[in-house]
Amino acid sequence: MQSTLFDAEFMRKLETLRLLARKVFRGQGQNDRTTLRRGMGLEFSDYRRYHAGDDFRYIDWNVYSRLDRLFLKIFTAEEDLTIHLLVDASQSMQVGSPPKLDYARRVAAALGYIGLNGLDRVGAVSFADELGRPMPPQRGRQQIFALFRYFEALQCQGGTDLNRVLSNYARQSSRGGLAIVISDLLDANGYTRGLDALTYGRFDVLVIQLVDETEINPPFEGALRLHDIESTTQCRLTVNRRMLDLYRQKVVEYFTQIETFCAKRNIEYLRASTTVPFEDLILRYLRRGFYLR
Amino acid sequence: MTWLNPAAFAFLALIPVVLLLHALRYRRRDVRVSTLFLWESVLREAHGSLGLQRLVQNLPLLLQLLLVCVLTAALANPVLTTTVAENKDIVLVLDVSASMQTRTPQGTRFAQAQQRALEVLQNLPSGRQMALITAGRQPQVVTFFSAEKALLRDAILHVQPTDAPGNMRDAVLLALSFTQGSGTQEVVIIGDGAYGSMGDLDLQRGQLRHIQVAGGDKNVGITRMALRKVLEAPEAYEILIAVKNFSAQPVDVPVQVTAVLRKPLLERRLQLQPGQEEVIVSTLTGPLKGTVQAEIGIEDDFPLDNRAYAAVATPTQTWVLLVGESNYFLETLLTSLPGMLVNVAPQVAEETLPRLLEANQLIIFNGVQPPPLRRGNFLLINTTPQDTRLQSQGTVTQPQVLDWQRQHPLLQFVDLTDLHIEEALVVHPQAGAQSLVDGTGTALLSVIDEPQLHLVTLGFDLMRSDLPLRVAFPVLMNNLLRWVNPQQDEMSAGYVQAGMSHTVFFDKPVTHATVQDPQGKQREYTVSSNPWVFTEAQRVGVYIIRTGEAKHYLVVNLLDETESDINPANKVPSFTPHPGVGAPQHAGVVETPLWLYLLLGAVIVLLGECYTWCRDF
Repeated sequence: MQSTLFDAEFMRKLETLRLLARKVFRGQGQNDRTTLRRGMGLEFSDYRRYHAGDDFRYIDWNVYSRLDRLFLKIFTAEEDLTIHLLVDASQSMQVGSPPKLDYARRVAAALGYIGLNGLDRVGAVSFADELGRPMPPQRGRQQIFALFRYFEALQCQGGTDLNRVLSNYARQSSRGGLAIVISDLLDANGYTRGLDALTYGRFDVLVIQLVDETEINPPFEGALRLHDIESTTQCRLTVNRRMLDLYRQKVVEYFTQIETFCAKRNIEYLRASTTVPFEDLILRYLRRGFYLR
Repeated sequence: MTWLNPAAFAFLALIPVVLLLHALRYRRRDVRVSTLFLWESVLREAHGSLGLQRLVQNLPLLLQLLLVCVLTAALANPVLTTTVAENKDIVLVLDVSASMQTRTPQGTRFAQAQQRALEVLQNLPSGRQMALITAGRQPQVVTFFSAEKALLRDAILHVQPTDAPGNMRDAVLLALSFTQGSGTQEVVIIGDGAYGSMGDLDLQRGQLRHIQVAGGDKNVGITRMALRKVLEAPEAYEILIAVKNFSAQPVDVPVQVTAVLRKPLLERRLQLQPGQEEVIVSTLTGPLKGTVQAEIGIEDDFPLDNRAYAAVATPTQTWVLLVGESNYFLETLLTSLPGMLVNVAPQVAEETLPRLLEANQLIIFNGVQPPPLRRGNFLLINTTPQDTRLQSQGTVTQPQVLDWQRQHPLLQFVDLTDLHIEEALVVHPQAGAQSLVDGTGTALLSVIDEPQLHLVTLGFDLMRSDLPLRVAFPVLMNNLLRWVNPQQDEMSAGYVQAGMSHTVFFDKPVTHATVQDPQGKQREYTVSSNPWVFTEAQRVGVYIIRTGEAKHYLVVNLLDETESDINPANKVPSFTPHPGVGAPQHAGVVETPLWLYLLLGAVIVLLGECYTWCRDF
């Protein structure tokens, strides 16, 4: 199994990992994840009175011998998890070296691989100012190639409208699960309503914000005409040391604002620079944050 | 406002050039960024509104355009024209007397006067001239009539107040002599009004304008001080100090007299009512040397008169040789003078004269023919020298005194009215000699005054006149001793009021003298004559004049009650012009050049341009 996104050695390392969700979801197929449903799992949950038609195999005969009444043992059903990979493919994701989109598709592919390998359902969708063509949640290792092809085909185009696309996805998605949003979150219109929509839906949300080093420490000074890569707007200004200091201060404020928002909404948030090796992000930082086991 | 050089506006053509250069040079670099909203918030915070942002972005260009405009305006030489009522030349009399050092809440009175003088200069109409006279001890013309305001401004700013009493009367007379009664000229007096005797002047009031500076009214000062040796006691001195309160409140004044190294000699405490003067007379015992300082320990508005100085004269001995007939009156008089030692000899040979001259400061020949006299100090009584300039041509009986030169040092305070002389030699002084007392048919008192030779001839016998019985005799002899031997009491110390000249007599011929002023600064002077006149005793304190190892103290004091009275409320002369006096005046125009301010503005703009350039790059 070969991919342009990462090599076989790394894929073997990924096979040892599992994605974790904080919430407990109702799955579609049987797996080893605890769900809200009572069913045929291994974990004891409760007793209830026997009713006609119940499976005799779950009658607790010890209780019957003591009480002379029929009680049924109830177990928690163990089902699979649906993982939604939402990848930002707006124009701003082509900034950086390597471009943020390259980094984002490798992260998404790795997480998808972990999910499919763990017999979870994995779906993916790219977004910019609109939702892209989605890849519906699929289960089984055989879907890995399709997932990889999906991410390899992603191209940067359009602007960013996080509020709209995330709200739309929350509305359109028929089942909840773990929603992993991989984006630079650089949207002048904000991101809060979109993330709120996912949270208020049935999603456990993990936001991975990708930033390039040039976005934190701009490598330019002097008289400049700045062009917004996603629009035709431009800004004329003279960048000096004072302005750069002020810009860095604004960036820090913006990141702090995102962190505060996510903490309040119980949204997992991870900010990663593209200078951090991709393998380290997956194998160290995500595990350290208990997003992977 | 008037533009004196409107052709300079052609330089405004540089504005399009600046715009063109800016358009060619100032290209912004294009940079693509992920998002602009962070940069926009940075801009908002850094520069506020959008208008301000644009202004800041275009600030270098705006500053360059402003620089061109300001420089063009400066080259066009704009002048601000204002109309003033007076259109006259001005003779400005600035009071630089000691009382102008009085401290006021706004600085000294003199600083205020300088400011008023600058205002007068500022309002001098275009084309009009101004002269500046300072009214110190002697009026001094600082600048004659000039229309150059920069020159006049410098002159005003360089004038300093003196420690000397002022003489406003002479200064005003000098200023009025400049105007010559012209109606287009005006005398402006700036001072504190304490001018002393001005009331006797018949001033043409239409030409005078008085600007009074005021402030400071508390003063207690030393108005008199004297120190003299007590003749009867070897190491005793009498000191007199007069302290007066010129303030409106009673004061408690500590007075202290100290010698060198601040050694206290006398301490008193005086209670003085307003206007009261208290005199301290005391005896100081013990050896004194150098100078003595009297000081009143009070903080007032005029500290210059809080100190006064006196010098202790070193006692000297003067040897006089009396040759010829014995004279009771002369001998008695000479021996009664302090420090005077008299030798008597019947005759003197020509060979022994040089040795005798070294031993005696004065040789008196009484009725005997002296040998040829070429140098030294001599008094010849009833005889004439072997000199063609003063030859006896017989005798005259009962000559009458016709006149005498009262201003000559020999005859100061000498009254020869009704002098009776039985017989006198007939002497007619030739060129090189001078008659000081003219009698009928003869010169009764003649002198030869040369650098090496001081010779006085009294052409009659003292015993055959009533001169020894008159008051004029000791006065004349004392004047004679001072004249022929001035070092006697002047060698060790001198006293002058600030601003006065002082004559220094040297024992030996000297070419250079070093003078140490009260601040301790030393200055070399070339001495061209003996006696030498030192004219720079302008500051109160002790000057030390050194010639070789000899040291001469010159004590300079203010000691002037008029100057110390710094509250001249009732002394200000009224110079209010009478209506209708002088020629009718037309309004004048004052032109104030503005190019300097514009140049200053251009420099500021240039600095702003440099700042923005450094800030951006």
